[in-house]
Amino acid sequence: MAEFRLPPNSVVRTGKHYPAKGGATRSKRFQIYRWDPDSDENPRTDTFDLDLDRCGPMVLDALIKVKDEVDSSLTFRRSCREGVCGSCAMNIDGTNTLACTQSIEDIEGDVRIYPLPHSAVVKDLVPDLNQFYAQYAAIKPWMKTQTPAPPDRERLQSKEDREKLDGLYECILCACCSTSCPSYWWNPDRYLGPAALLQAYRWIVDSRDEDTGARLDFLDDSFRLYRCHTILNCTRTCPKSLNPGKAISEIRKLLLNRSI
Amino acid sequence: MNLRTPLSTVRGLGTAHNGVHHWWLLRLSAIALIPLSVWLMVSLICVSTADHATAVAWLASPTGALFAVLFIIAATFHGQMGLQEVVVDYVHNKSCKLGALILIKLSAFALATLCILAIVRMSLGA
Repeated sequence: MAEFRLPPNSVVRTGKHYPAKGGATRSKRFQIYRWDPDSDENPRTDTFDLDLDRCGPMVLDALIKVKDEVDSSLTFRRSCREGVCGSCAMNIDGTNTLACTQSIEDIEGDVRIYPLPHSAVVKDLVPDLNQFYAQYAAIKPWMKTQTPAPPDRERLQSKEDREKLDGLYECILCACCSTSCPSYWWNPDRYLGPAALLQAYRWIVDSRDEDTGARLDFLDDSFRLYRCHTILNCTRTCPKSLNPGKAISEIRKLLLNRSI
Repeated sequence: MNLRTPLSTVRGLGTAHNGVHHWWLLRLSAIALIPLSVWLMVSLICVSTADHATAVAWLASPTGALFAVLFIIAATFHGQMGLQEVVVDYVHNKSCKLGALILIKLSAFALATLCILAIVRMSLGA
């Protein structure tokens, strides 16, 4: 059966509390999920009170401040700090998003920060994304053609055909959508998930690609594509405002068109 | 210990080539159920205040029997396909999944046969 409860050794306990340093006038409370694979302890949520007057505006700034000044063992991924790399995807205030583009002021009350849901945790806020990347690799995210490219120029594409890639190519593979999808929670081993399917559609709809049929064959499966029940958590949570739900519907339409 | 690569796990046993077929039949039966359900509700409201003989006459009439049989076929077909989706989503133990699917499919078939037989009996005046 699908697992609805955490196993006993995954139950989250209350951890330590680190008060703000003296003289803080605008203090905000951050509750952050912690788990260390090297200890036998259960995961816990540590509470950090930070002075917003001495902290940058985004949630990532707060995490970096904690790591620099309070607890250097806090572990999280980050790189570009401007919503382009997708490294700092995590569950903030109950929604998957990027810590670097989520403003602290937009969050009412305490800021609760957890790793992406329903994924194995490597440490603290770092989820194991190996399977997620394998799913991306499985849809063969590169151009497949039989016709060689013209020797003197690139493969051409009309403006109209290029516009079909808008809303697809911007995906940064942060995994916010896939890990917010209940269908992906219950069948992560067989359902490809919204991120991989959006990318699959990005190559299906590319006018220069010559492997559309094989790409559709790969997806015509009750698990790989059709576990999607149009819940649309993916579209709601996407920090880049893309619409994986629509891409999945477009794939379904193409599959139907070629079978009736 | 699992030493398979993640990609090998994702590719698994390959494509079943059954997705679009199931999805299309589920949508088709849903479309059929829209007018049939309206017909059933209106008819039930009409006969709800009538006596037993009128209700039997309604089901035994050619139109009544036709639409009732169509409704039963569409509803049981749609129902078993929808329940299959639920089982496939949530039940991961292979034996339990197979058992549940067999039970759902055969029960739906038995239910449909039972209902249709009853209507045929009424139509033939037995």
